Amino acid sequence: MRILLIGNPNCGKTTLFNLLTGQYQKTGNFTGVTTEEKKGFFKKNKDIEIIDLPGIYSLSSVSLDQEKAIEFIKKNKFDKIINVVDGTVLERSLYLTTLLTTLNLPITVAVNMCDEMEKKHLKLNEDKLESLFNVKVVKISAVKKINIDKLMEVSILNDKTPRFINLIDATAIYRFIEDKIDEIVVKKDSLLTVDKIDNVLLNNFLSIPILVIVLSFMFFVTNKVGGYFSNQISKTVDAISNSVEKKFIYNGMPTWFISLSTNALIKGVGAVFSFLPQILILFFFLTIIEESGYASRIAYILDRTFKCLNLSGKAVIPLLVASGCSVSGIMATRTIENEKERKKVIFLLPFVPCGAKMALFSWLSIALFKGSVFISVSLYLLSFFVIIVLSKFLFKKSAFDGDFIIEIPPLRMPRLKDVFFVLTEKIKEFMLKAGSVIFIVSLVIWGLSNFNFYGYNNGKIEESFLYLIGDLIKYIFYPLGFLKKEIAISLLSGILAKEGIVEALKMLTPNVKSLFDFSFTAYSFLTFILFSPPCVATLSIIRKEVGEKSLFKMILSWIIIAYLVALSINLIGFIYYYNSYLILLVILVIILLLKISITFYKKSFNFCTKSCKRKGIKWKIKR
Amino acid sequence: MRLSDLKLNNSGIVVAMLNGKKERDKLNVMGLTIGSVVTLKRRAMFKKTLIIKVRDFYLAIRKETADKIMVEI
Repeated sequence: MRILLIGNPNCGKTTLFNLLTGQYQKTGNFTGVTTEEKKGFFKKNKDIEIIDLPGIYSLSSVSLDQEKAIEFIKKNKFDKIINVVDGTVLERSLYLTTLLTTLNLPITVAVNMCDEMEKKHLKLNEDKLESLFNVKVVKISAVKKINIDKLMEVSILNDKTPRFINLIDATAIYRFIEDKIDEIVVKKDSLLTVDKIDNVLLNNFLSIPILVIVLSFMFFVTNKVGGYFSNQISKTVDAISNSVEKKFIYNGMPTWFISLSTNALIKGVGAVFSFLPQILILFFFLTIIEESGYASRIAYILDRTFKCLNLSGKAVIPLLVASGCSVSGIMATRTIENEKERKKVIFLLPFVPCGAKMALFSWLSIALFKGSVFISVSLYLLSFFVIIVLSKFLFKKSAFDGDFIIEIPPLRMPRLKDVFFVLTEKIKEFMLKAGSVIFIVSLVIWGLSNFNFYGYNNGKIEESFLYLIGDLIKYIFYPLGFLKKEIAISLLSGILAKEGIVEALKMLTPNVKSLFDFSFTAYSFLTFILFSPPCVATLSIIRKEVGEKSLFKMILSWIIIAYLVALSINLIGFIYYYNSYLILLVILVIILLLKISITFYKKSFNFCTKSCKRKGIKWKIKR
Repeated sequence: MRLSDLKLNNSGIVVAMLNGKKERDKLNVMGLTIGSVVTLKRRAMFKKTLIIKVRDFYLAIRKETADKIMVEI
């Protein structure tokens, strides 16, 4: 038997799904957390399959995630429907219920949040609701686990055919519900007392300072506290590696084996583990922001600012999520309806330093700049600056219909269980990554650095394949001031996952700082990493979302942008250092080239060019 | 009068929606239909984004959208 869970966004479907199947999927307090359908089996009876869909408001599509859900309903066959409705906004929730009656399947209406209904003095008249649509009604609370088993019993046995309500127009359906709603829910108090916390969070003068404080606090704690722990982990890893090396030498193991186990496995893979503290702390904060409902409020606060950048407030949540992980950020762009805007956000999203990049930067800033906080902060500011410039000028204003309509959910206390779940999930993900991609990168780098055409080179890295490769590609990076081949090699090993850079540096050189002649070259190295194409996981999800052709264009532009930014920082450094005006001339030439390349991109990207504009105008005239 | 002209915490009944079809559909589906009661709850800085209450929940919309929704007190 297949049971479909269906309901409005943010009504608690995923929480219910997790309860029923014993699985654990991510929840959140904003629209569009679930972006793909999820299947699972009822934990008490494995014959029953339960399907969780992205939340929808109606059966005609409004945004991409909802479109996918509706497509899914139309293509697949189900036996029963559980319509999850939020009891505190019953009037709106019943709109979908009315539409669902047209599917002609037995419907069980699960009136969720019955505990919150009680708090708000709402009394549900179940019989009235049952007879109105000829459905079964169960009051539940997914959070408090009330009536969950009863809901399943009822829905499995439910074979009532719903009363077909022959209304199509939204206005008519809402009028129909309006007429009956007073009989179904008895309101004792006036609803929705204005939230006192919201008065502060959304206050016109306080909202932006609060936002800045919250975000800076988050990044500060992540950097400082996380940095401390990751330093501790690095030290432990080095100590373990040293003691293992001593033991192996004492036992007379062959040198290649010692080098493989200590350099490649313990130091290489272990170095990556020092990233874990930062990533965990960052996700702790992000989950709290998402669960509490602050995320949609940030979208409201920043909508106007984003509109100036030719984006809507809807881009805020994906960009915020991307500061944890680009992959989830790209999934979150599905709530953006406008396809062009979505592509644009996807293009700009990898510039937001993700958790792994951030950990990488803090590692590098310790290795290169004695752990100065200024480095991480300035990289964030630089990334914002580049995003703003690109968004404002590279893509001109286009035919965006520019609507911004989002639900502001009530503020909720984040549940510790959900936060804890996200963190354990991250640890698992990280272990998997360390065990697969990073392990392989380690082995490959080790293999290449210890062998040449004549076989094992006895640890003489100068005579290895890796140096041969490094010699070949290092010229590409000469203009950026990266003269040593180790830098080129490390950038190459960062293609799969950015952690590879740390691994390679750790294996190739004991003193990272010695690779750079000037501190500004070291800084331009960081900016190059920041703007270069994201990890393979992100690339593959982008391919899924926008297709191969767009992905290819994006990768090319990312490389060019990374190169240009690193180059300009390097040049500025040189001017400052040598006080030379000749270099200023070079810069002018570069700016000219930049201008040419921008015009080239405007043409090839086809995002929001003049022709687009023209199309937009035509379209308006037609209507 | 326009929805955007409402005073804070004042309510009105929607009498006409002059938004484009796509936008209107979206609002309709979420419960902002002709005949529904809306309350203006909040204006963001520069008064360009609004939070309104409709059918017991909050909705953030832009002023441009609200300008095209006509209400009667």
